[in-house]
Amino acid sequence: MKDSYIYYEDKLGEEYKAVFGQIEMYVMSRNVDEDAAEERLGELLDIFLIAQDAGKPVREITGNNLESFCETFCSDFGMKNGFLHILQWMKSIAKVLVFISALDLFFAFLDALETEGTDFWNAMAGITTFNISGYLIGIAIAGLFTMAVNIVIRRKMFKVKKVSMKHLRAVSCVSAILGFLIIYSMLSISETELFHCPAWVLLAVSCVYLLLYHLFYGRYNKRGKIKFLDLIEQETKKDFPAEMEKKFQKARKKNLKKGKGDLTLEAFLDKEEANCAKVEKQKILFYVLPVIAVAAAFLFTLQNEGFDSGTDMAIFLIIMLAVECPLMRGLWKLTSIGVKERRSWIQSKRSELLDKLPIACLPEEK
Amino acid sequence: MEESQLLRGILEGCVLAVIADGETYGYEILAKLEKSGFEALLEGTLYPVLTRLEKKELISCRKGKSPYGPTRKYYSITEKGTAALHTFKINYEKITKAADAVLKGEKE
Repeated sequence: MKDSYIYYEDKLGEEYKAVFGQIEMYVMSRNVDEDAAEERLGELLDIFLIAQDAGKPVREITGNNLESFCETFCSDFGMKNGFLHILQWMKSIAKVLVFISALDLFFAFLDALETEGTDFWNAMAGITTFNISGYLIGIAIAGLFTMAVNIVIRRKMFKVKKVSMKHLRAVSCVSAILGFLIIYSMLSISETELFHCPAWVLLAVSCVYLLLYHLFYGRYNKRGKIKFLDLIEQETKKDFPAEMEKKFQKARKKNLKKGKGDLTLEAFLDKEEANCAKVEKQKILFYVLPVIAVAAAFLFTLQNEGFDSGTDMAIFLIIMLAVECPLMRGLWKLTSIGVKERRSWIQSKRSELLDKLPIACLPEEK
Repeated sequence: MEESQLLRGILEGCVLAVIADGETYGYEILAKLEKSGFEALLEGTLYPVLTRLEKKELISCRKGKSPYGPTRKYYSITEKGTAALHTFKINYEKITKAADAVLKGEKE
């Protein structure tokens, strides 16, 4: 069932969409848990759709001071919402910690087993430690940096003209990347011995956190959550028609510049349809290429005597395939979303052209 | 004294009175209040009021599907809310009676 408000945003007209986008950005920049934000924005979207249907201008709902509307709209999000948001953020951190510590432990375990006289329990306990101090300092700095960026976004978004949602999303992406870089660099820099802890401790604590989170909170709040690929699909749908129109106008100008005459919409649609067919034929490459790449890497490593044993080779192949195949599959899914939207746009444009034709030009019904 | 300050004092009671009429949702509550004469009441003002009433357990809500697609919250009054509304009406009558007397006394 499609519960998330994101599925219905494109029902808004231009005026309502622009205002809703700003309010959405404001709410997302607040320290409020995802479920409360999702619920509140869903209710607002419902009201916008009703008012739009009734022919009311959006300012009748929000008033002329959008910043003041947003402040009042979010005024009841309290400490509980902020605390829940932090728990959700820590869930993402815990998942990364599980992955890193498990990988760390796995390779340390393999190294330890190759050492003579080491048994299973010695290999597990205290062989490898994790630079927890660097990680914690990095998380704290990244968190403060993100909070500072959100405060700036909230203060500036209503004052700076010609700032579109794309600009603000770009700022959010850049700040997220910088946040991760800060964590990574603090991880590398900090060498305080006091705060090192065994990787198995970190793995255990992270797993317990994720389990408790799921048991007490996550399980009851999965309804209505939009999946990542569905979110990409919805986001693609939003800007797609405008982007295709821009592409058409650009192609027309190019044609005129080259002296090829005006490019008609029909010719453009035919070209785009041919491009879609070409991309669809390339589907097989997305499955074959990872296998070829892994095989090439394997042969190269083998030739340079990179493997000490058959176990090394097996581990290399497993890890490479485990990373490459889902990656390429994910890339194909994203590509196919783009192709699907393109075909849908082409179809709608062809129907529009058909509607505009005089009746005499329409094919006779047999 | 600004209109918004006076409004803040009575809005919770008025919203509760609208919900007491029957299960309703945000836009409908706003439309009824505007029809009754509350001008320039914005959606942004309504949601914090609804959240406060819910926290105080004066109203309950259930989630349903709006005909437009998104999830819609439907609010209904609880027993505690009915009692609170009754108390509000008594207090409101008392205060407006006293205020009328003072303001009429000033005119004279």
